[in-house]
Amino acid sequence: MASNTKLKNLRKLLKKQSERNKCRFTRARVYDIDYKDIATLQKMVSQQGKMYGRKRTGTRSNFQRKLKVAIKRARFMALLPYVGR
Amino acid sequence: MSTRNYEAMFILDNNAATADFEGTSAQVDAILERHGASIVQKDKWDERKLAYEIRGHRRGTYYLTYFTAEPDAIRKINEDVQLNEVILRHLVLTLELPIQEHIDNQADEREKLAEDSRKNSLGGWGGGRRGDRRPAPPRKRESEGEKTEGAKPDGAGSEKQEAAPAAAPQPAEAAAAGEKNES
Repeated sequence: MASNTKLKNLRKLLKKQSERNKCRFTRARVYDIDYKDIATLQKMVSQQGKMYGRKRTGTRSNFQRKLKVAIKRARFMALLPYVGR
Repeated sequence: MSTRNYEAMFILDNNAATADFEGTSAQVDAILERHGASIVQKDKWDERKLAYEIRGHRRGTYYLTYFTAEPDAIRKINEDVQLNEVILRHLVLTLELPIQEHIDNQADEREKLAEDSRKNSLGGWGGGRRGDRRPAPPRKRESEGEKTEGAKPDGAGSEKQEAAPAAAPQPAEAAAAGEKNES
């Protein structure tokens, strides 16, 4: 019995962790990504201002495409750097 | 004819904008209205450091407007804005939704994302909230505050007063070091 609950807990934990690794935009049920939302965009970008890949952030493909546009707009408006910091 | 909804962001020259924001933003409004745009909403969005220099400026004032206009007017607006010296840069976007709905949606989605990152920040595996044996990893500034409070009772009597100032500079130094790394 005890091992059974342990297993259950472990499964719950694993599910939670795998949920965390998924796409944040899908989780938040967002429709579009705003270029003015710098706090979110900065998490998807390295210190040098390079975009992180999908494998690193777990972003779904349609959101990665929207993210690309949003980051490029933010760069144009000098909200994010093109290069370096 | 048929009008469309637009969102336009302008970076204004900070010297002019800090001296007289009303006057400089009125210049932008005048350009928009000259070409038959009707402004629905206009805000001073932010005054912030630019990520890179634009025409020798390190800081800029962001001015955000929402307006409806005919599609043909946008080209003329772009031309006029580029001739204006107070406007460092601008970006006009076409909106699919009605303006008010769009603004509400964006605020809503921003909130959702912020809450999501608060919940799911990767502050160590196992995520302390589960009542694990390990102590919760520091995730927010609030938890840092708790730590410094927790450190006080360890010191006895007179040391208490010394411990608090000694603990306080550490986060500041860490922050300074972080800034150095960034720059």
